[in-house]
This record gives sequence, C-alpha cells and structure tokens, in this order.
Amino acid sequence: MKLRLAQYLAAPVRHLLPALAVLAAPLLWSAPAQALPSYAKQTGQACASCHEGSLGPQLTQEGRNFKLLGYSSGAGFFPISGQAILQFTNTNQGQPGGAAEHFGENHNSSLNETSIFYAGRIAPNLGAFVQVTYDGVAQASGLDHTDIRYARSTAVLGKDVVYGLSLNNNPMVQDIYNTTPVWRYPYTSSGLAPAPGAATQLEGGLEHQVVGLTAYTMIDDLLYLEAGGYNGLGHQMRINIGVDNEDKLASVAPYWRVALQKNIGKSFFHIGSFGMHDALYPGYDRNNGRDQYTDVGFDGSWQYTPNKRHHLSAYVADIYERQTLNSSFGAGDAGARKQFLNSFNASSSYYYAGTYGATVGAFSTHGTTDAVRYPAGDIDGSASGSPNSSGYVLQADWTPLGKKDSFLYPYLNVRFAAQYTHYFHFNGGGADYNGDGRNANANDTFLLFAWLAY
Amino acid sequence: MNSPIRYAALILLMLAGGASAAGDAKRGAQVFDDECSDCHTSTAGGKNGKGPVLFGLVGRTAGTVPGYDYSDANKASHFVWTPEQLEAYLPNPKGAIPGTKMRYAGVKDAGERADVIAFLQTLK
Repeated sequence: MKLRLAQYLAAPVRHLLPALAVLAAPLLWSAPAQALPSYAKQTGQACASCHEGSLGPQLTQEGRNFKLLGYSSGAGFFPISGQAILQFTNTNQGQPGGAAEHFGENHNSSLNETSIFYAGRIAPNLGAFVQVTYDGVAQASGLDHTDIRYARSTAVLGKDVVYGLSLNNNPMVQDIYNTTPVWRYPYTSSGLAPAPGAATQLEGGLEHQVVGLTAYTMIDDLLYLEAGGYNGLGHQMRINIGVDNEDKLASVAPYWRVALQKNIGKSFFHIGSFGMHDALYPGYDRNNGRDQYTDVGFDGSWQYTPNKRHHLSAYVADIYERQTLNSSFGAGDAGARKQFLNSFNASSSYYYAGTYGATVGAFSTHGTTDAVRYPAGDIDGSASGSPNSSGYVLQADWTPLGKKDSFLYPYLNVRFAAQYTHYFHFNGGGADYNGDGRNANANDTFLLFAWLAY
Repeated sequence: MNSPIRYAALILLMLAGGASAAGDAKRGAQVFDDECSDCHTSTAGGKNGKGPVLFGLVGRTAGTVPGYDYSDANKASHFVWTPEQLEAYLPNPKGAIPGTKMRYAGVKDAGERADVIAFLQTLK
C-alpha cells in the first residue's frame, strides 16, 4: 500500500521534473524577486560567509555550523534557489563516436546541469537541502542530493552540544567537512570527458538510490559523532525519481562518522574517520549470494583565515574498501571473490578576497587486478585489468559576486573557472592503457565552466 | 590622585591616542569587519541579521534586542555586556553560554579582543 501511494505521488513528479528543471532557469531569471539564493536570504549573510571563495561547496566554519544546525538558522525565509553549470570540454584526444549521445568527439559545449532547490528552513530547527537536476548531457532529470535535517543545540554538563538527525539519499551528502567524496575537490568536473572506471562505494556507489537516517552530535565544538543506516529504494521508486541503477541493497547498510575539530588562532583543523558496510545484489540477481563492501576512510583538513582577504585551506582523505564479491564471482563478472580498492584525494586552495582562487589537487585509485572486472576495450577499458588511475587537477577561478556589496546581492552569484586534469595512469596504464592504442594523457581534460546560482 | 601620577596618566593617555585603556577602537573596527560583520550590524537602526544588532551593546542585558529570536540559553544567562563580561565571553562564546545560537569559535587573540571591545564601546 505504501509503495502504491509512493508511486502515485512520484509519477506526476517524474513527468514534471524535466519541465520544472528546464523552465526554472528562465523563470527565475525573469523574476529576480523570487530568484533568491535562499540560504543567503534566510541568514542575511553573503555566500562568502559560509563558503570558501564565495561559492560552494567548500564550507567555512560558519557554513559548517549552518549545516550542523539543520539549515534552519536565520530570520528570512524563501527556500527556493536555482543553479546552472555551463561547460566547454576539450580533451587531449577526441572520443571516437562522440563524447556522449548528441555530442561530438571533442570541443563540446554543454549545459551540464540545471537544478532547482528547496534549500532552507522548513520549520524551527528543521531544514533541507533538496536538489532536482536536469542533466544536459544525459538529457534526463531526477532527484539529486537530498539532506533533510532536524537539529538543536543545548548544554550538557556545562558543555555546548548540538544534536540532530539527517534523512538523506547519499552517504556523506550530510557531511560537514569538504574532504569526503560528495563534496570534495574537484567540485565540478566535465560531464563529457572520460573518467576512470573504478570507485569505492562511498564515491557514489549508492548515491540517490538509497534512503538513510543518521543521528549526529557535536560536543563542545570538538568531537563530532554520527551513526545511522541506509536502505535501498524500491525498483519502481528509482524509476519514478529518475535513478538509473540496477543494484539492490540486501540489508540496511550501517554508516558511521567521527571527527575531532579545533580552532587554534585563525586556523581550523579536523581529523576524522568514516565508514560504511553494504551488501547488495548486483542487477537484483539473488542467485549467487551478495557482493559485500566495507569502506573505511580517514580524513583531515586545515583552513587558515587571517582576515577576509586571505583564505588558505588543505584537504586530504583516503578510503580503503574491502570487497567480497560472491555474487559477481558466481555470475562470472569477477575473477576473484576477495578484492580491494583504495582511493586517495588531496587538494589545497588559496582565495584572495573571496574572489580569485587557485586550487591544486591530486588523486590516486589502486586496487586488485582483475581482467574480468576491468576488461580491455574502448576508452573505458583496461589492457592490464587494473583499476589503477592517478593524476592531478588544477583550477583557477573568479567569483566576482557573492559578497554583501556585490552587484545583485543576494539574488545572483557566479563563478568562472578554468580547470585542467592530467592523468599519469588511467584504468591501469600510462601508454596504451586500454589495449587499443590510447594513452592515459589522451584523456587529459581542459574544462571551462560558468557556475551560476540564483 | 597626586600630581606625578596624574601627569603620568595624562602622558599615557596622550601616547595611547584614540585608544581606550583596553584596546584600539580603530583596529577593533577592522576586527569587527573581519570577524563579526557577517552576522551583526553595528549601526543605529541596523537590522538584526543572523545575530542581533550590536549598536548599544555595552551596558545591555543579554537577550533583549527587540525582534531577535534568542536561544533560551542566551536569555537565561542574564549577562550584562560590560567590557569585562565581553572579555570573558568572546574567547569562546559556546563555552561561556553553552547552547547559544552563536556558533562562532571566538576571538582567540587577546589584543584583537581588546580592540574589538574598544570598538563595541563606541557603538552608542
């Protein structure tokens, strides 16, 4: 009965999503009085207060606190916003057959994402970040990141304590530190460039196809604790909300997060750990048991803000994933039952006056060689059967708005950026990585993008 | 006060220029801009933002700005914002008033704290 009700509710939404998303931009542009970056309007603060470089997603201490308290603080109220990301992608070599359907082999322009948000307070102590996105590359729309929170602050034994609940659809979308996969650098990537094939479950393996409830607390602004679980959405519900995935969680997946944080002078530090265990039936196939993944990550960050003119930060995270692939092995989709994957990501940014920014980042993924899971083939193939990829990402950006004295504050924010990605290794190799003569650096990507929030 | 001490005090005041005994209000204005102005306005008739307007703060009782929705913890503190109380509060607001809405980490540097308190004293 519940499923039927959900279907009835979801079906109209499914049909309306494309129209809503496509129509949102021009409607909001033509009616700026309703096109408010909703958090700024609610809090009375500029984007620069909560975000490094005056545009998301990197959070400052103020931004972390706002999220921690359930997106609900502030006296204003207009919780609707929009976003559009326009990209121009150039890869070192083109992609035969086209970078994607409807696109050429190289030098592609795209309206990569158009989103509308419910972003702000729902009721006292209750708020939300709900994103519906039209993907201009896939030409499909769906429910994107969603995080609905209830939070309160109180005193326990003379210590300040924040506690709350997060209902969300993506493990780590609720995280307040910009080290973990959902919100880490690079904050936007090309939708049309080749990307390495292997990733841990916490790097998008379950995004938008699950619903999770976690409880969290921040004690004395020092110790952060969070625990909860995720369950898979039903097949029909996934279709209704535009999620394209054919795996099914076999049971509730436990999730945990712990962090220690401290402000020392003008610096903020955190170190932490996080993890999740999930078991799933690939392709809903229950004939060969389950594939199980246990992810454990460690992370840390540093932000130095001596004043409003300078902001320096560094982020690092490493995720180790142990895989027991009974289902895939039984179905002939894996060459061994026991495998692993390790993902490392680090970045450092400098912003001047919240306007001019430069970021350097490095990434590395390595894991078990398995020619069955990682076969040779086209651009996505691996001649060595290896998931190993590594490289760096450079970005320079200009965010002219987003301050209290900015043009059209708080109605409009925009970032213009140039980003360059270089691969040392791609899917297991540097030269002829796919067994078809393509080198890793053929996928090096020069990306220009404009990111608008309104 | 006898004459030598009076003269010494006058000389100190002259050396200090416009600074109060506790800090430099001019430098404090910059500290306020860097650390406080995202949430607080400081002008007469200023609007409440994420935090209450701070014009007239010194001498005021905590939790009494009209139209601002204070936390219960703040209202229950019954603090009167004297320079001494601000000196005790600003290094760690959440420690001074656990449960406060003000999540700000605090002005850790004693010199900056003295300066911003001096600036807050001018807001009247």
